[in-house]
Order: sequence, then C-alpha cells, then structure tokens
Amino acid sequence: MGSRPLDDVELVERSKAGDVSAYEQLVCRYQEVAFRTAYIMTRDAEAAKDAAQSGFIKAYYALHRFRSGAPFRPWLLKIVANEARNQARSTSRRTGLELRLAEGRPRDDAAPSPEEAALVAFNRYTLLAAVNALEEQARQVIACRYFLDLSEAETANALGCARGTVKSRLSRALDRLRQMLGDESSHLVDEGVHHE
Amino acid sequence: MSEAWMDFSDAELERALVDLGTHLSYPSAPDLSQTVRAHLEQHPRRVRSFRGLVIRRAVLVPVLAALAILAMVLALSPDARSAVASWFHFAGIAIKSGSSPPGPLGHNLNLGRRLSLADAQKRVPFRILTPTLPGLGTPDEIYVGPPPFGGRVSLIYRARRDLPRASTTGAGLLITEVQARFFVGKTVPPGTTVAPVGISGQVRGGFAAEEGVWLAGRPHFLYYFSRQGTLLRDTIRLAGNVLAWDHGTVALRIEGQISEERAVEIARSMETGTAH
Repeated sequence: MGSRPLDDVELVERSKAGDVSAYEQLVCRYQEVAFRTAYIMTRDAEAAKDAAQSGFIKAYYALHRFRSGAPFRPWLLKIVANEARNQARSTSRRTGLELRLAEGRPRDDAAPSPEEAALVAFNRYTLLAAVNALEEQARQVIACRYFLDLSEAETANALGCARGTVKSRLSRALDRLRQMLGDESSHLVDEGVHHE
Repeated sequence: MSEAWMDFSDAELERALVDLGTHLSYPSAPDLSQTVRAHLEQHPRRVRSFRGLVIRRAVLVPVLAALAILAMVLALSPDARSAVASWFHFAGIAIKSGSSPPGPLGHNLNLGRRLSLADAQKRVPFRILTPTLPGLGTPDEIYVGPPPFGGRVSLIYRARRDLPRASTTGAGLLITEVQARFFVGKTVPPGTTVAPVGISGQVRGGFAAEEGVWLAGRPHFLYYFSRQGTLLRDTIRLAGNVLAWDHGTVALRIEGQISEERAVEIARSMETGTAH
C-alpha cells in the first residue's frame, strides 16, 4: 500500500461512495485555487470564502453526476465560480488585486541592479493598475488565465462561456491593456499606488 | 515608458502578466476542510453511489465481461436464452413471452410471494411507493421477492388498452422496488439507447434531486449493487423499455411497452402510503 497520496480519480470514487475523509483530502488539495478563483470573481475575501465553501459542498452532493475518470479540478472550479457569481451580486465591497509588499530576493542567478529592480517593480505596479481598471469581464479572463494559471477549458468553465469566447475575450483584453498602458500609464500608476 | 508597452507583443504581455500573477497578494485562503467535512457528516448524501466499484473492481471486471458475452449470446440465440434461463433458475422473461401460461403474472416472472400492499409493506424495510397517476389505478398484483431479493417489491399491471403487453414481461407494466442501487455503466449492449431523465421536480442546490435513466431499444440486462457494494447478479434478466432511478436507498424501475414520457409521468406520480 505505502504512503503514496491518492490521486484525484481514486479520491473522487471514494467520495462518490460516501467517504467523507476522501473528499476532505480533495478539499485540502483544491481549496486555495477554489478560494482564489472565487476571490477573482467576488473581489471580497468573505464572499470568496462563502462561495468556495458552498461550492465544495454542492460539488459533493452532485458527485453522482460527475463522470468517473474526468478531471476533477475544472468541474469543481465551475461550481465554485458559479457560487461566486451569485455571491458577487450581493457584495458591495470590492477590492482590487494587490501586489505583495515584502518581496523576497529573486532567486535568479543574475541579481538585478537596484535600478533594474525598481523598473521591474514599477512595471508590475503599472500593469496591475491597468488590470484592476479593466472592465469586469476582461479583468476576470486575464486573472483566471494568467494569475491563477487556469487552463483555457478551466477558464471557460469558471466564466461560464465557451473556449472560443475565452480566446476572443483574452485577445480583446490584451489589446485594451496595451491601449491603457500606452495612453494612461502615469495616471494608472497613481491608482496602483493608491491601492497600497 | 508608454512606447515600451505599446510595443509589447501578445506573448510579451502574457509573460508580464504571468510574472505579475506570481507577485500578487491574495487574502489568505481559509481552511475549509473542517467546516465542509462537518457539514457533509451532518447531511449525508442520499443519492446513488456505486459503492464498491473501485474496491471490488478486481471481482467485478471479470464478472461483467462474462455477463457481456452472455448478453451477446442471448441476444443472438433463442435456444441459448432458454438454456441459460434454466441454468440460472430465473424464469424466462423474454424467452417464454410467446406462450404465457395462465395464472398470475408474477409467478411466471419468479417475483416471489403475492401479497396485499399492506402485507408487502410489513415485509420490507422501506416505504413502498405506488403510482398515483390518474387513470392508472392500483396494481393488479403485488409481490415480495424471496431471498436473495429480501426487500424486493414488484407491482404488476396487466396488459390493457393503454398499457400494451411487453414481450419481456408479459405484463402491461412492471414496477420493481429494491433496496439497492442501479448500475448501468458499461453493461448496455449496442442497439440499446440510454438517456438521462430528470425524475424529481425538486431542485436541491441547483441540481435535479433525482435523475434516472431511460433504456430503450433491444432487450438488455439490468444490474444492481447491494447496499454493501456487491453486484446482485441474480437480478439480471432481459428487460425491454425501462426507466430506472434511485430514490433514497431504494432503486426503482418501471418496465413496459410505453413511451419515455408516459414512464416519467408514472415515475413522478410515485408516492408512499397510497391506500390499496
């Protein structure tokens, strides 16, 4: 038997059979990405927590509809994102994404000079400010695809749209970002700093 | 600065965004495992779960393979059907359909003891459901199955104008209730269609509370899993059009030469405690 961690397929099958401990392992495995996906949608930590929690619970009760052997994560994220959209409607507080303040020293071999480091940080602030200023649909597709590193299919599931729509939204969002960064970078930087 | 961003290709911009993603600060994710677990333990799931599918796969696969071969042989050869029927000691259902002997239908189908609804109810650990669809009336015959079918209830309606005789059962309608779960899986032969059907109008958490399957076309086998997760191979028999679904711990099926719509109507009208 050994201590090999069980893979998703085994955990899902056990959960289907009513093994709550197996499902708990799936919760542990995916709660961070579930929470972050919900946070992208709701922009509110409390609402994101509620959405992730009820997403996990609903997914468990719906397991009999889950095709054995299919990847669990995209299916789960779809349910969580759906919950998050419902939560988002009733959430008034909305925060933008923020940069981590305490950045560790980069592990790259070539440590950047202070000037280079400052430029990189400045670019990140600028870019994030632009993302935060995007309209909701564009912001969500960028965040799911690049920040959460969801696959195209997972992003489509989370946003409740077709994969083709993900592609076209991404393409439009990138264009919009470039346009915003070109036109208004100094203005955006002010906003970005303001978030801190 | 502005010019630099404008010159970014999609790929460069994507790289910058991925880099940005690794430097974002999210609120710390709460640990949900305990809360979710507590909730699930307080509210156990009441839907089908093919228990034992994983654990007993080693046993199951050869059994299912053998059954699949049997299914093909049976489908092709009437002689083989009769031979296998007697071998398994289950009365020929599809087999003897041409010459149904007189007498209560249930005896031909080896359904067990014929009882009144009240007596049948005393012998099974679950509440018996009967159809309440207007015009359908009460079942003509009620049976409680012998071991190993302890707890199997069969309701029979004789063939009549609105319930044509099904060649597989000889009855107009056969409703079976057994404390087990259906297994449809990979046991359906070519020529039989399987379609998901929403049974319960209730919606729990956005999902249909009860979902069944409609099997139609060529005769096929039905399988159950017992509550312990073992395959109930004695329940195997050829069946025609069937609507099968799980209701709590009870697996129900409606068989007859009827349309899917009619079967669903009957299924939706199933209630406990109907006077008989």
